[in-house]
Amino acid sequence: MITEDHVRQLAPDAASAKAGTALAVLSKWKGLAKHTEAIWGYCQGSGKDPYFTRVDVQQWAFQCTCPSRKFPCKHGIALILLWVRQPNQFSSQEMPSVVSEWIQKRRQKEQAPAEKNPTEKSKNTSDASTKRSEARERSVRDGILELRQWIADLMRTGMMHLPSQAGSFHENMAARLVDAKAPGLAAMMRQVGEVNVFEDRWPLQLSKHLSKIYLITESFLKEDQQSPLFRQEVRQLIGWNTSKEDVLTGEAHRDEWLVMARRMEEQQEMNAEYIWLYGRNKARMALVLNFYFGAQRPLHSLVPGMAINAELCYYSSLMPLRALIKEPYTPTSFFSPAGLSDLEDAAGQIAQQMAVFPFTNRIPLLLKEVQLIRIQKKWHVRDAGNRILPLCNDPEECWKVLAWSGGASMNALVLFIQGQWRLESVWNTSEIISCWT
Amino acid sequence: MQTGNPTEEEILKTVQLGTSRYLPSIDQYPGGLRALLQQLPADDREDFFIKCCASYFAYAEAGITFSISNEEPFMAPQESKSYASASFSSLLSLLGNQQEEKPLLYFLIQTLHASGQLAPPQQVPALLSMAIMEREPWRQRFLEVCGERGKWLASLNAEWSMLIRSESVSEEDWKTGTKEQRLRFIKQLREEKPDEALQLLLTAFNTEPAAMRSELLDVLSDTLRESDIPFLEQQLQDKSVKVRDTAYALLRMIPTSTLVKRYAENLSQGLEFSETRDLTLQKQKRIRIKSFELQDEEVFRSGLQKISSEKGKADHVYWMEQLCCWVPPEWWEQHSSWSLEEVVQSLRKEKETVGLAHAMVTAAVLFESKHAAVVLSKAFPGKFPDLFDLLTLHECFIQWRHADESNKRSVLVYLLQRDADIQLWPAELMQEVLAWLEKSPYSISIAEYGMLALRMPDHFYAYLQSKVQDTDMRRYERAYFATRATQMMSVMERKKQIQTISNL
Repeated sequence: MITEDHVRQLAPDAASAKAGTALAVLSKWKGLAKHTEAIWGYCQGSGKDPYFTRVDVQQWAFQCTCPSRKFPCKHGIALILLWVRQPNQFSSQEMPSVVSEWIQKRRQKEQAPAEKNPTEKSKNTSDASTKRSEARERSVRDGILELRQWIADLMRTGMMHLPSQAGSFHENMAARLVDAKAPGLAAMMRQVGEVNVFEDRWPLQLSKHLSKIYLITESFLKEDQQSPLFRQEVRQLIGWNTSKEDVLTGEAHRDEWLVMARRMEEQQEMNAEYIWLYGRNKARMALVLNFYFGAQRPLHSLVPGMAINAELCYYSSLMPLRALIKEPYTPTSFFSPAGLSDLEDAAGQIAQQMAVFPFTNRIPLLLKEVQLIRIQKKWHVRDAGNRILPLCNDPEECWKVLAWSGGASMNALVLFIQGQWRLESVWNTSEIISCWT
Repeated sequence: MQTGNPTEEEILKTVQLGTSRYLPSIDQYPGGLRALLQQLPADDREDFFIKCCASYFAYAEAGITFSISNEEPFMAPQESKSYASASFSSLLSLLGNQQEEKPLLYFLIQTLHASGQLAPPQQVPALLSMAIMEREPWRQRFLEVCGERGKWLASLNAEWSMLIRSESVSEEDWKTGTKEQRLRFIKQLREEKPDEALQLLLTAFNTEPAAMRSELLDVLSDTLRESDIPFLEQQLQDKSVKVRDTAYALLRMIPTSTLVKRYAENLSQGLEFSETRDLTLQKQKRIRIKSFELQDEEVFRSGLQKISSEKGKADHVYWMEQLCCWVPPEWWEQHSSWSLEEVVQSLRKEKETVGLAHAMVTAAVLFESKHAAVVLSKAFPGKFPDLFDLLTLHECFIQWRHADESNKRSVLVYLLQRDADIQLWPAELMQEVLAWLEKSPYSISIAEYGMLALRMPDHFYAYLQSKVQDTDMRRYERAYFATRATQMMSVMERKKQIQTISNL
């Protein structure tokens, strides 16, 4: 099922992909072996002893004795590449104890969250925990009041002076929100700082961000008037987390899920990984969102075009989208999802979702038979009725898509992000092309 | 966000001035929204304005309207060739533009090109970006593996458009085209109908500005003929120094021009050829530079420097060396009745005349004298890489073999870069090169080791393997060569992989 292109996308960066390819030669390897669950081999590095590399071929997990902090390391990439290219070079064997123990541990770990849950719940009910959550409640409320005052003061005095403090006027407030234990609001404040105050009509962009934040805080302060789900959504935006264990004990949705797109975004000192999935039978989208610090290992080895048979658990929400994958999952064949052919219908979906929850910041839309066109050096997607929507992608991403489509109609996954449209991937009946990377 | 929207103008005005100086109004808000906002509870003016703002932006996002564009779509032309296999494209995407990867990338492009296959379309933008950084013939090869889609994309992107600049120009371009088109037209005409091109130049030349006259002359440089001499000599009277210099430079390239004959005449006046017998009664040939005054002003006008720029070198020796650069090497044989080998041998004997032998290298390159190149490269193995272009690959290998240690590296690097096509080298030479590198492994770069591996016959894999296994790690050179041997083995394997995939 896995292709060389998938392997390339599994690499943490271009350098690792290249180094892995260079190592994917038989002269570097000894003891190549395979089993239904794993492959393994010894790779001669610069040291005296070769590195022992193993790959879980059911879950695409890697382990290597090399000191690299990258994941997968170049040896892992090379081992899979060799396996994809020359599977007959791997002798069928029983797993050595070190590999079978590792696989066994992985399988046990996959079952662990459900067992851990009762203890977690008992923890949450403890007195200390209640005290902590009350303290946080107070802290967030105080922080929010201070933020509202700050925004109101800014509106009172006007924004004319802001360009002289470009990039820094929001920092103090963002830091205070972190102290107030409202990291979600702090992140929104940092986005405020990204508004280019040297662009035409920048005060409109800024007021759009600030007024939205203000309205979120208003919703929080009046949460007793909201439905429980709405309240929960607002709290998540402010920075309250839902534990993964809680999510994973919720309803599981089994389906064949196609990886539609994957994109890493740098957010402060961490990387956010957005994996967009589409369920074949229920015809619904899911977003798997992971955060990584430094060289932390990605949770899943999923790349666009891969399809898996898996159970997903959605975070409870007014419009469930964010989800967690319940492991284990098994690979399945590629399929081509259907989409909307009329942009008016897409706009209708957005209006519907905004009406349910106006603070929604990423809405995925599957479009059918649209064209990529360039009007006055700006890129657009056009439907059969000649309606166009402007894209905010980097030009390189658009050139890649145009090269692939040749100007012909294609299917597209478009994200509606805070009033802008971004093309994430395009596909036909046989392949999917990610705009990112 | 569109401009000219009254609601947005109102918000803009408010946030710029501040609510303390400007009383915001909702009169400009859309009707339905305005009715709702009128009932909005608010603590104060700022609270009200911010909520109005947030409501408006949410309202605008939820009610997206689309523009209509009837612009003709740009559609890529059909491809007549087939696309490379997925494995090929995956390999291609992994080979970047880094120096170390370049040899394999070139080999992959060469193989794709030779097999008449195309790179997958999504990789075309990256290949076009690489192509604009390449020189010919690689630029063309990159473009060809991008197929019709590559040319189509290049026509849409200003950055890549240089790759498909139209080569065909018409007579109309000569009359009304840009300077570049006019030069291309005359060059094209010169290649196809040289006499017509010369005629056209004769009629139009004097009406052109000086800079253009010089560039028009330059167009002739690749296709110079004896019949061009009168036209070029005519241009020696041009009022522009630049045009005159170009005309002199071109005349210098024609062995039968009056200018070259004049150089030869002056050269013969300054030289003395003699033959004596030594004590063993063997003939000794000797060439001496006479001390003389060069009186020919035309020679100085043509570019010969009057004053020696080299310390310790007399002016008359300096003149002779310059003249020697501009006289065909064959002249020496005709003038002295000695063979060129004897001439070069004689010149090498004296400290004063060795400079003439070096100058003859320039003449050999200028007049593309293969015979002189062979003689000179034998006399100075590996010393003058300029001569290698006139030699066959085999002759260059001989150069490498006889070059001293200090020149061996430059000859080897030249050989690695000489041909665009990556071809296998003779096993005997490869064995010698590897034996030398084993002793001096730091002589070439990592990328050059990669280039060498691509030229290695298959059976050298076993040799490299033995070097990897048989390593005395205490000796740095051997350990380093073992590492490079591993690298070369890897390149050979990947090369084989490319070849296997291309044959599928």
